Amino acid sequence: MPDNNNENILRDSQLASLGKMLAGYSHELKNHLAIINESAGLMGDLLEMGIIDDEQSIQRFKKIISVIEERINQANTMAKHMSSFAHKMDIPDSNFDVNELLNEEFAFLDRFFWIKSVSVQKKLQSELPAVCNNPSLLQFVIFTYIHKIVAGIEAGGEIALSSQMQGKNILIIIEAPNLSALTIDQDSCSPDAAAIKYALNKMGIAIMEETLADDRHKTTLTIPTT
Amino acid sequence: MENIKLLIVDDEEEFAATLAERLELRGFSSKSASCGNNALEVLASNFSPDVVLLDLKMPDISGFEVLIEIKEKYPSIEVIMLTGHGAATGGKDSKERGAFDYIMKPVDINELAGKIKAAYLKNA
Repeated sequence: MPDNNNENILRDSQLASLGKMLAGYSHELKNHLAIINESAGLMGDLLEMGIIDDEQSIQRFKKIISVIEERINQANTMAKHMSSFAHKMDIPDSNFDVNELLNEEFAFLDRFFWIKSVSVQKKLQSELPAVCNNPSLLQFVIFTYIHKIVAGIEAGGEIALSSQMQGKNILIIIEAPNLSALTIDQDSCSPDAAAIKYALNKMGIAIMEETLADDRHKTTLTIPTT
Repeated sequence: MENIKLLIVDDEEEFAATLAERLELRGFSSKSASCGNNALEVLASNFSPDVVLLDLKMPDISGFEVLIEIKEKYPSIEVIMLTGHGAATGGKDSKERGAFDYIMKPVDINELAGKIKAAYLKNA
């Protein structure tokens, strides 16, 4: 029987997380478009003002074109991630690659890392087996968890993320300076914390939190592969 | 109109450099700063711009904080905010905090040039 209260909390939290993700992402896209716009405008200016009559100007033009191409490629990669993210919602349970999901997640979180000057150490074990679970829900959990850590972390902090195989499980490990996203609001019963716990329970994913000797906080998600 | 000096503050260095080049082609002279702290350092040095073009969202200190400091220390310098936000709220808020005006990214270069001239003429 569905737990309506927790389902509602989860849905609200998912919507809020989607809003944050889209806000950050659209801002990034606008940045690329702004640079494309200025670069194309500069080429127009140079043409209009007749300043392209020597080899130096031609080289300048080539440089501007390469900036446009690079920014289009970056915007295209962002669009691909967004499309892949949207399609994960098509079928709730499906086979997916955990590392691919984590890489996509980091593209969504990139702007939030940048705003706080947070550096990220990523160590993903290659050739992990596919997981059959709810990729969209897992993505929500990881996004919300890391987003909350980034919001609470001091500027210039560091987050480490790794994936590894252990027996028949895949472990996702997040390490951050003395922060747990589940208690960051000073309240382990906050709506996001409740939504994360409920979502993990729904997916059959265990969560373990511990404080390391150097005072860093370690969170391990254990995802069964079978 | 005499040569108008600009300080362009944006962490997207390619954006700032290209915008600077386009404005220079229109007769303005400019310097760029890649973050809020860098902008304040430039202002504390010998460079005294007529108008500052200031990005709202930057990684070290926000455009709002830089705006407040500029208006406190250099009240004669006019500031035009550059914002990539979908909503114009940030721009409107910054006008309340002393900015001359704001413009959304991607910018219309002629609209921006017009705003810069209007900002300059305010104190001329």
